[in-house]
Amino acid sequence: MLSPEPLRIGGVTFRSRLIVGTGKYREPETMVAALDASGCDVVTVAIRRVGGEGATDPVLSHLDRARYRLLPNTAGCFDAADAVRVARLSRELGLGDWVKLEVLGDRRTLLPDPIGTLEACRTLVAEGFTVLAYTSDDPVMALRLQEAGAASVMPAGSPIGSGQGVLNPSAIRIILESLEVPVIVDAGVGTASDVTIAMELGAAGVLLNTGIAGAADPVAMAHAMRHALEAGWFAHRAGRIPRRLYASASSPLHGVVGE
Amino acid sequence: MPMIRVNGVAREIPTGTTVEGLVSLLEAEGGPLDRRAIAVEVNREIVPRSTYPARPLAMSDEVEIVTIVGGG
Repeated sequence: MLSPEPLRIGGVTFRSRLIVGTGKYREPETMVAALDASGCDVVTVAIRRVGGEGATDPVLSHLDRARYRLLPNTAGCFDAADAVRVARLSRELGLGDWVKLEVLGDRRTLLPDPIGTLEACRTLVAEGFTVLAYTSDDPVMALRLQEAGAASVMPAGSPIGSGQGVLNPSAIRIILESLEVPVIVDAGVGTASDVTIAMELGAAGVLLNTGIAGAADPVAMAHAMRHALEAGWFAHRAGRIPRRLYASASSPLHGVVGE
Repeated sequence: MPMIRVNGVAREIPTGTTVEGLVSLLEAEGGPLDRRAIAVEVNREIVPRSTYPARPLAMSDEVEIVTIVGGG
């Protein structure tokens, strides 16, 4: 059976183009089954203060570290300095030097702070990190992050967890045409067709969390996301027909009975 | 007894407490902490795991102790 070509980021090859978050699952068992159904190789994790109860997050103890590459994020950081600290802490935690960089600018929309993101990206690249930079769908900002050394630029389809899908396909297309590094649509996926749309535009991959974890049946949705991604990847390469205002018959127009 | 901040919360520690000693204090209060699953920062500088017993804490130190959790 045909399957999409592998994804290459920062010199590393991944079989799946779907990156899935590990937050918000109701039970760890559901997360494990959903990750399996999604076919993903990379999962995102967060770094947080140890709680009063001590111990580690039970969710994490269910993850097969031999199967999944853990990609730490800097979610929740609202300035460049904190994001850099979190990346260094994640390296100390043994998660390596890859980081999904998030520097947020606003608590209600969780939209990225472009200035802080760029500053943190430069610092982390200088410290040897492989930076996958979460950003808005602004094409100029995406270019700036590539220039700053990001290994992947990850524009939001729409705000994190909003389920609004890809709100500005034109902006994503411009980013895809402008950048050489892999562009991964990150955030906003509500259902499978959103993943297909992102891939049909030519995205290298899709990163999502809430779209699966928040679904009524996360395992079934993960299955749908996996196939939606493949559908979009093949459709992009197949080359769609142009949109026409008028019909174009599929059957011969001559030789019709009673003509 | 020196007053420090641990994960944003002020607390007193016995004089001479090291990072290792602090982690042990937290374990006594909240249960075991796998040393491989935590990372420690004092005053915004990473403290390598191997140096916990050798790193004393002093008045006004700001300590962060973090771990990996689920996230997107």
